Amino acid sequence: MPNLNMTLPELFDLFAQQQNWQARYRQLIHLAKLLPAFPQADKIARYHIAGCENNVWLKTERVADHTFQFSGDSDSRIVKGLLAILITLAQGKTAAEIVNMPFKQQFQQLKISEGLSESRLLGLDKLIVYLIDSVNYSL
Amino acid sequence: MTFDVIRFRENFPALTASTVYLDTAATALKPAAMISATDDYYGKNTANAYRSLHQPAQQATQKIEQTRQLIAQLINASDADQIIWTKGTTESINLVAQTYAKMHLKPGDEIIVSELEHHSNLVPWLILAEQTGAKIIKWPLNQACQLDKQTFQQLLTAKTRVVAMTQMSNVTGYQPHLAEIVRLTHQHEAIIVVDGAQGIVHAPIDVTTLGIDFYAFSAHKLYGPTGLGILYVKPSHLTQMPVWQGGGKMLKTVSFEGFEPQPLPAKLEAGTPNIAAILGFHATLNWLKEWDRSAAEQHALALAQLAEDKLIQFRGFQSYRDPDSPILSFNLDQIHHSDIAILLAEQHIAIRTGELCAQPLIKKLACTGVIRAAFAPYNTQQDVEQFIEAMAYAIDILS
Repeated sequence: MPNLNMTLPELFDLFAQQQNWQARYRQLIHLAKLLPAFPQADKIARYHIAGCENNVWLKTERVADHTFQFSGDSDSRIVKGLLAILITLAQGKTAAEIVNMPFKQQFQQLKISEGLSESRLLGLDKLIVYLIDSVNYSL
Repeated sequence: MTFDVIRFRENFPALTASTVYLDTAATALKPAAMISATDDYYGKNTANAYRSLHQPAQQATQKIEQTRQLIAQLINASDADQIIWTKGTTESINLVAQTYAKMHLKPGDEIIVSELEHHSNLVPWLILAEQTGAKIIKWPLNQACQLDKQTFQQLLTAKTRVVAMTQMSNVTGYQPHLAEIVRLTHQHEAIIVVDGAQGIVHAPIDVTTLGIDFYAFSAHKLYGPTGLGILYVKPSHLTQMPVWQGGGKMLKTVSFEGFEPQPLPAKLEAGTPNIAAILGFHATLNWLKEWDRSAAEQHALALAQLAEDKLIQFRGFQSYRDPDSPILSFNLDQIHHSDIAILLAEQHIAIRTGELCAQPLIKKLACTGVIRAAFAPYNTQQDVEQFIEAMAYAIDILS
C-alpha cells in the first residue's frame, strides 16, 4: 500500500509492481486519499494554481532548517494523486535539492504519465513549475 | 425511407470496434466519399481555382460553385451568391461583427446575446462593443434553462441593433424558437445572427422562410472537412457588406490610387479558398442526400435517451439534456468531470468534458464543467452499452 512517507525507490517499486493502467490509477487515487486534509481557509488565490481544468491548491512553507513543507488539494482525484506524488518527492528537501530535482523524469519512471492525456501532462507541468517557483519565491 | 445504421456506419473508415466515438458535437467523423474527394484533389487534380485554364483548375472552379449551390439548397437560400466561404463558424460570425454590424453600430446601441451562446457567438460581440461603444445585453435563461419570449420582449428596445442567437446549444441541445425570435427582432428593426454550428446537423433550416439575416456554420460538424465555414447573407444585406480582408480574387481593378472590389461573394473571399475542403464538402453534401436525415436524427435521439435512462443508476447523476436532444451533458455528484474524461479516454471512449466553450451557460448550470456524450447516427446500442460499462468502471476506480 502506498503512503506519503515513502522513499523514492519505494514509490518506484510500488508503481512498477502494477500490471496495468487500472491498477496505477487505483494507487494514484489511494495516494490522493492519504494527503492530509487541506484547510478550507487555505483555499485562497495565493495558493491556487491558475489555468488548470480543475481547482488545484499548493501551499509552500519554509521551515527553520531551510527545508520546505508542502500541502495541497484538488477537486480532481487524479490530479490530487499526482500532487501527492509531487509532495512526496519534494517534502523536507532544501531549495537547492528541489530546484535540481528531475521531477518530469521521475514521473516518467513511475509510468503514471504514460496513459495521461497531453493536456493532463500539461497540467502536471504546471504543478511542477508552480512548486519550483513557490520555493524560489520563498527564499 | 427507414434508417439502416449498419449501412450508414460502413461509410466511416474511422469507426473501429475498439473505440466508441461520442464526440460528434465537437466534430463529426468523415465519410469515405469526402475522404476520397479530398484525396483525389491532392493526389491527382491539384490546381488553383478561378485563375488558370487547365482542366483541373476549371474543374475545381466549377465544383466550388456547385458546392455553393448545394449549400443554398441545404439551407434554402434563394441564390448561391448569398453563400460565402470562411474558415469556420467562428470566422463567419467575426466577419459579420467586423463588417455589417460595425458599420451600423454607434455608442449606446445594444447587442442582445443569449446566455446559451458558445464563445464564438459572444466574444466577437464583446470585441465589437469595445470598439463601437455599443452595449452587450444578456438574454438570461429561465429556470428550465430555456429562453422565454416575455424576457426577450422586455430586453428589446429602440436601441437594439443585433441579436446573437444559437440554433442549438452545444451543451444542452436546447433549440430556441427561432421563428418567433426572428419575428420579434425584425419588429425592432434589428438584425439576427444565428450560430448554426450544432443546429445544422440536427434539424433542417430554411433561412429564407425564417428571414434570418446572417447564418453561420462549419462543414466539419456536418461530416465535412475542417477549416471550412459558411456564412449566409440575406439578399437585402448583400450590397451593404463592406470589404473585410484585402488580397487576390476580391477585386476588379487595383492601382496605387485604390481598388474596386468585386460584388459578393468574391468581395469577402480574399485569397485562395480552402479548395480541398470545398471539394470534400461537395462530396459530403451529395452523399448526405442518400440518407433520410430525419430518421437518422431519430436514431441518435433514441440512443441519447437510452444512455440517459441507464446513467440514472449512478449515484448523484444530474442531466442537463434538453428533451429531444442527441447531446447528453451531465455530471455526477462528488466526481470531477476531468477524472471521468481521463478514465474514459483510457477505455477508448471519446467524449468531451469541461466548459465546452460556453462559460456563461456552465455558470448558469451552477457547475465547473460537464461530461458530454454526443450521439450521432453512426452510433449504436452497443456504443451505449460500452459507454455505460466504462462509466461504471471509472466510478469504481475513483471510489
